[in-house]
Amino acid sequence: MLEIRDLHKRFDDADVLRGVSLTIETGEFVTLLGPSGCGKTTTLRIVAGLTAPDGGRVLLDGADITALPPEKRDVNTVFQSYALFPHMNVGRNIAYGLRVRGVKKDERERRVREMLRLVALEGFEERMPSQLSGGQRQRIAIARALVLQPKLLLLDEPLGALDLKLRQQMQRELKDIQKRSGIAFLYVTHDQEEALNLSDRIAIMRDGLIEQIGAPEDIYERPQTRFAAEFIGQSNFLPCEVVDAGSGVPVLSCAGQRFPGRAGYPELRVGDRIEVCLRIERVRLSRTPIGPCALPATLKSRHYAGGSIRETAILPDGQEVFAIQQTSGDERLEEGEPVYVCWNPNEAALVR
Amino acid sequence: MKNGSWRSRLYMALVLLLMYLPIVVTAVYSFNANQSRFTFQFTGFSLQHYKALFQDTSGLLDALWQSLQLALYSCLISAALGTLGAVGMARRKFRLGGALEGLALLPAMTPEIIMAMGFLAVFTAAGLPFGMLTLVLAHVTFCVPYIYIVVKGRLAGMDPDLPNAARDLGASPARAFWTVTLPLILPGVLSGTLLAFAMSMDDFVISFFVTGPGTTTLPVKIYSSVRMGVSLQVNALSTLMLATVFLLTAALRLLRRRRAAQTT
Repeated sequence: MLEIRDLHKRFDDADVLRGVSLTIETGEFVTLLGPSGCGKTTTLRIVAGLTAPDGGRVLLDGADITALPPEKRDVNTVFQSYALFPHMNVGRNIAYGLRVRGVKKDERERRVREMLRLVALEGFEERMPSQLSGGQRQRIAIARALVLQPKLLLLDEPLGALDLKLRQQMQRELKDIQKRSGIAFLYVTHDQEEALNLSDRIAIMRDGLIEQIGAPEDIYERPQTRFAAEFIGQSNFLPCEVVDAGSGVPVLSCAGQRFPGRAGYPELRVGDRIEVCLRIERVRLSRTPIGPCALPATLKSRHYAGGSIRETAILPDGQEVFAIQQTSGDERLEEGEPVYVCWNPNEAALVR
Repeated sequence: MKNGSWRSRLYMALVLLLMYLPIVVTAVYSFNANQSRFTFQFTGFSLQHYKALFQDTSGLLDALWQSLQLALYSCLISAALGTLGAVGMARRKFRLGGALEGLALLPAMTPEIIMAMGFLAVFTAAGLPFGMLTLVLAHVTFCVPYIYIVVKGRLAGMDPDLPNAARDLGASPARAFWTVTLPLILPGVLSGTLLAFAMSMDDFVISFFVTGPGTTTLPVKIYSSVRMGVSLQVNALSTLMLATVFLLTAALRLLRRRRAAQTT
């Protein structure tokens, strides 16, 4: 439905976008995730028509809209600041786009009411934006954009200004609104949790490029680069050398120990230097080795944190490995005692 | 002032007294029954100067009318120019933007007498007939910076995505300006225009240089009548104008307060 091809953009002396391509299907929720300055907001503004790209194309339903001004695009935006018109009440804010399109008064009022019902703010027509809470403003901004029934809704960190509790509640509501409206969302955030909770697909951006794109589970379970692995979830990275790459399951070597790596990396060659990404909740510290991947280490610290235990082990080469386990009490390790750092090779992605 | 000691109150009273003494004296003398142009004895209460003023025996009302016309034209033109300038400069940053802005603001900081000489030279060289046209041209030049500065300040406090949101919702650039940008900067445009109006009404030096036969602005008229002794009609007119300004200022304050209550 939306197709972005090879977008480039320079601001002053900085390459903000260096070839971003992306496709979004009808009704899909796609998130651009990345640190500030990675180009995610610029990508969004180019799709909205508020910024002109230096190179590349934007296609909506197959039609090239790269050169169209924002008012001619069947795309609407929820701005980071919400950008509600402060001199108009909620009803007039939501009706603004309808009024511009010459929709009759009765029809306008009906659709405004419909939108207010969708965002659960019925009867708010007469309020001024200044009389609304942050969460209410955000929902009005969504209503104002959705009332035009765009093919695609663009959202620029819409939850960024809200406190944590409201943010979690709004995440659920946002997903709900998206499902009910059936409109595709292109969502920009730097919050990994938001991205994981909301998205059908996540595009991790870095320095003006998409580093990896896939379903949340894909991104979490099979990060392709260290950057992607670091940006989502918490991980330990073990630098290893590939010592056998022949028969599907590679053999890795780290600190004089050999162990199998995850299968499914046919591009690995003997001698390659890679890193094993150990998610902290998938590492197990134990007195006895469990499974084929078990590195001897020493337990450095152990913190009881209610539902979980946080442990730190030190490998013989000095690298620390963090682990978080459910409180299950079957084995009570003491600080300073020798332990094994164990993991299931199929749960540990290999990254470069 | 609740915590102020009697000393600070006294100080405050003194400052206010000194500030307003000339105005009070002017107003009091406008009611003087004394006819003489050269003595300042208060001989009794009378409205005779007001009466003479409205009969326009000395041409003051005509001069006021000319000044009002001049201020009106200058304000309308400079309000349009200053607002467009501020909006345009805020919308896009270009290489020489800073230098350009400095140049645009320079007329407000140049000594008036130098501006006046400049206008005189240019208008003479261009062969323009001195009169309302030259006056308006000169006044627009020094009014634009005031409007530009005030509107720019107002724009700086405005979310730059507001007009973008209007465009995003389907409004043409013109419609976004009229329905979103302009209503939001209107208080700035109005107070800038009011400032420019005051500047134009008040200007003597530049007007004196670029005015022509048949066009006499109020300050120029007052200056020439003072040379022949102060007519108390001037006091009467000043008092009326002061009263108008006080009323306008109070009205503006009220308006602002209502707007502030609305938007915050």
